[in-house]
Amino acid sequence: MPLHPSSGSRRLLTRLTALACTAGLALGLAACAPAASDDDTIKIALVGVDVTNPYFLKMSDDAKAKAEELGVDLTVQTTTTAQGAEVESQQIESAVASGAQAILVVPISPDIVPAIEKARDAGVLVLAVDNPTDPVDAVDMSYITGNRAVGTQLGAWVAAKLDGEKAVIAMLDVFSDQVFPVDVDRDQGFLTGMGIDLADPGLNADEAPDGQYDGGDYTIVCNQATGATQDGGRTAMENCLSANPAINVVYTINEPAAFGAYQALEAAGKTEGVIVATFDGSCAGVEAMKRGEVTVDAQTYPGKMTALAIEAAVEYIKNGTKPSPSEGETYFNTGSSIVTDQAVDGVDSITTDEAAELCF
Amino acid sequence: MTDLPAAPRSAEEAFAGRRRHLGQRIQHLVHRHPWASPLSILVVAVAVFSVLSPQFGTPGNLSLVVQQSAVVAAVAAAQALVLISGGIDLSVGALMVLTTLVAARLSAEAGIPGPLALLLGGLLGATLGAVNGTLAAVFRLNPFVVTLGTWSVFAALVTLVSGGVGIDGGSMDPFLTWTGASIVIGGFTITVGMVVVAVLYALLGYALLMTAWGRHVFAVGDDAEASRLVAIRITRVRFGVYVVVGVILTVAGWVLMGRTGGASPQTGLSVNLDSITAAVIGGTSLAGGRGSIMGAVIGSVLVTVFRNGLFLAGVDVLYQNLAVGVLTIVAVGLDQWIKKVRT
Amino acid sequence: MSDSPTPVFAARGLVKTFGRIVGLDGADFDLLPGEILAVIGDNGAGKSTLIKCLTGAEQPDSGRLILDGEDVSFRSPQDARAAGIETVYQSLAVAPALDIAENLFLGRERRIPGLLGTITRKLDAAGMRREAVEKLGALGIGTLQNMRQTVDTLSGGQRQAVSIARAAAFAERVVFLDEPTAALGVRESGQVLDLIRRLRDRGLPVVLISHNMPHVFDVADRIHIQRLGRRVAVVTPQTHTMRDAVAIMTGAATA
Repeated sequence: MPLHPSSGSRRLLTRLTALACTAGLALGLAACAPAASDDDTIKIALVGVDVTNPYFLKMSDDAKAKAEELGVDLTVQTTTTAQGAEVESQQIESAVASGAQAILVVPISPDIVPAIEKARDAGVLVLAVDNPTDPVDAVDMSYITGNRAVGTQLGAWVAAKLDGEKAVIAMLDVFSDQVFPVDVDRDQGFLTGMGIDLADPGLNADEAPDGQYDGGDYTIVCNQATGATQDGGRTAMENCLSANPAINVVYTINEPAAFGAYQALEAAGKTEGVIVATFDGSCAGVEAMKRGEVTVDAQTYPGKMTALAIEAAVEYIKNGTKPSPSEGETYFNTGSSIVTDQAVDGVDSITTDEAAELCF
Repeated sequence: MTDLPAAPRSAEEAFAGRRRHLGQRIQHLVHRHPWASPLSILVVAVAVFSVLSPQFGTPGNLSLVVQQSAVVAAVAAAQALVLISGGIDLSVGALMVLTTLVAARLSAEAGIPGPLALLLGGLLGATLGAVNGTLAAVFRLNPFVVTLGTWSVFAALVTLVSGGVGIDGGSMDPFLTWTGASIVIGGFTITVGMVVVAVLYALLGYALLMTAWGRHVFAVGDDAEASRLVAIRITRVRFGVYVVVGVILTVAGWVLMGRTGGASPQTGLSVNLDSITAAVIGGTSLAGGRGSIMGAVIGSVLVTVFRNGLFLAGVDVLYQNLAVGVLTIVAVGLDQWIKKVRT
Repeated sequence: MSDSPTPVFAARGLVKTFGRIVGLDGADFDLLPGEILAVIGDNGAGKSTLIKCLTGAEQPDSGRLILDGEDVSFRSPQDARAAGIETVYQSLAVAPALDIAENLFLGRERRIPGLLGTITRKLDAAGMRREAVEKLGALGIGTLQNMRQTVDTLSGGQRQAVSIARAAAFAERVVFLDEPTAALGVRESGQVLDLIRRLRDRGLPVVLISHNMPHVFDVADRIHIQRLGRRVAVVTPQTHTMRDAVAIMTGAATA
């Protein structure tokens, strides 16, 4: 027996309407996209920036500024850490397909190397920014902070500052279940700077929990993952404090994690005499240092990375000059500075006022 | 030759006197009260971890565990509500962050007083929930797919509204971060956020268990066709649930702001999976029609207890993930077993 | 057929088409007070369409519906329900995860009395359970004692009983039953038929749609035979045999 006809067709109609609206929206958005550039303009793609992080936002903004200055057509693609290599590889492929002559990529994991190889085979210049690929020469050149080197400087500062006092250390990394180059370089660099023995310099969290650093005894209380976020930093620090309330050195992978860690310290009433060490050197971080929440900060220059990379790409596309690394290195070191208002002997540093001029 | 059986009793007597073995009794208990099993696991876990590490059972650490699970607990309560109604909402993280970011901006930049800004945030939450509701309940599109899509839309709006930059607690009305304020009673730290979540749970639990609306939510999730035939307006019920979820998420975001001391576009976007895990561990069925808000709260605390307890006991992170995975599988298995209840 | 007593529910000349397909072609219907009327007919005879028009699930293109002597029209099943007509659908319309009391009052939940109830909207769960026990007891359904038992633990016959009890509890004028014994075994069917008789004995007329001739002939007072969109005969178990009825259904014979 035929059912009442109208409910079925009404449902069909609403579905069709929904589909039509979506299609219309997509077409509308496509129409609003900038018109295709003429053949002479150089096309460059920046892939893998997580613009919810001020660090990458600076990278992206400075890249756009440099692109405009040089008359380059730049497209920016966002990837979050959660999305991973799969998404980033697709973005590299679509950049190649769209006619990009150079790709700047923030490598999210070694799994993107096949996509990079395909791009280079197609004649596209691929430059890494922020952190290196694995292997380093999978790309034509990398524009990165020497994370291990600056981590070492940071560690050396902390060791000097402690001046023999027992170091009860909390290590707040990005991940605890993955090997991520920046994560490992900074962590292991820091410990090297402190003079602590690394079991395997390619792995975090494998050091002896007790031992000697340059100047005295140490205990590593924990290696916690923060996901490089503030909430993660807070939870990690809380857990570490539960394990050992006497922590006096907190290593954090970046400023959001450091801010979270400080909140936990504050809530526990344990801010006295605790050294909070971090990386980034953003303007927010510099201000936190002035408030005494962060003790020492390794300032990096994300904007420089993309700006220099774009310049090098343009040079290559116009004149065929291959990009060259810093002296004695396999990558181009975009530099870093230790920022602190408590200078110690043997470690160069700049003050928070000076850092405020350079921050992002 | 055996004696003939005694004269048949009346049906009432037979029913009252029937014996059920232990397994059936447990099955029945859990069927009626889905939060009973996660609660018992929680009690056992707390006892075990306290024995393994003396630092675990301290009031300070236990308070931390509750604080750390507060936000997820609020989101999980909302997720449980949607699941019970037969839907699902994968946009929860982005929705939560967007509403609170807007509230924070209104306070920090337009100088709107905190409570009003939060209220406006709640209105936005209801509106965004209405978008989900329209797509999932009115247009009858698959809620899994549709809310996956709205997650991306809301997340993009987060970037648009925030410019990638968070808003520090200091530049907004302290009311918006008031959920981070705390008092210490007998070594236990109790934050305003915890109280807020407790009140939220009480209200939601009351609505679900004591009102006709609540029964309709269960009925629609359990058997939509039957509900339609008894004149329950299933579209309205489902739509309403998504709107309520939007409001709950604004409250969850308020608790998050108290914890992070500001509104950040980075944190909380991916709380989706945690909320589903907590809801399922808490006894809510993915198929709809059965579940518990209290269970969702217990589920989120349980996950945090596992992570915290294992960490303090010196267990590798690998095993923490394993433990949560096993918990989830046990919960789903239990869910299936409960469905097979027989008198 | 005599014209008195006045039918509780009647229809005259119902016509319903679905595009080119004719569902009802001037169908009539009469339900007398205190009787069990069975509606039988082959597939495609218009049985379901007739029932849907009578219960508000469909609106006839033309024709009259007369309830207790007055013309009525139902735009939805809710209208029919408001007029005192309850339907027990073949699917039973019970929510398995809810308990017996909750299902009985589904869509018609009772709040605690007074202003307190209106403000807090709190349900009178204990009260509903008590009423549920009474209603089931009044229908002689003794095997269901625990109102907090969820419906998915009940057998097919017990669920049918709950569904029928729900209709009986709220029906003021008529109860329609669509294939109530279709999914049941011999013993449970017998229990359901007893239940139907008890409904009638309490004064509620029952319309029973069924394919099952033995059940129909067991319980019906009169039998409405539908064929090709019209009522072609009304017979009784006393005046006709099952064979006769089937013959009329298929057109091999006329009344």
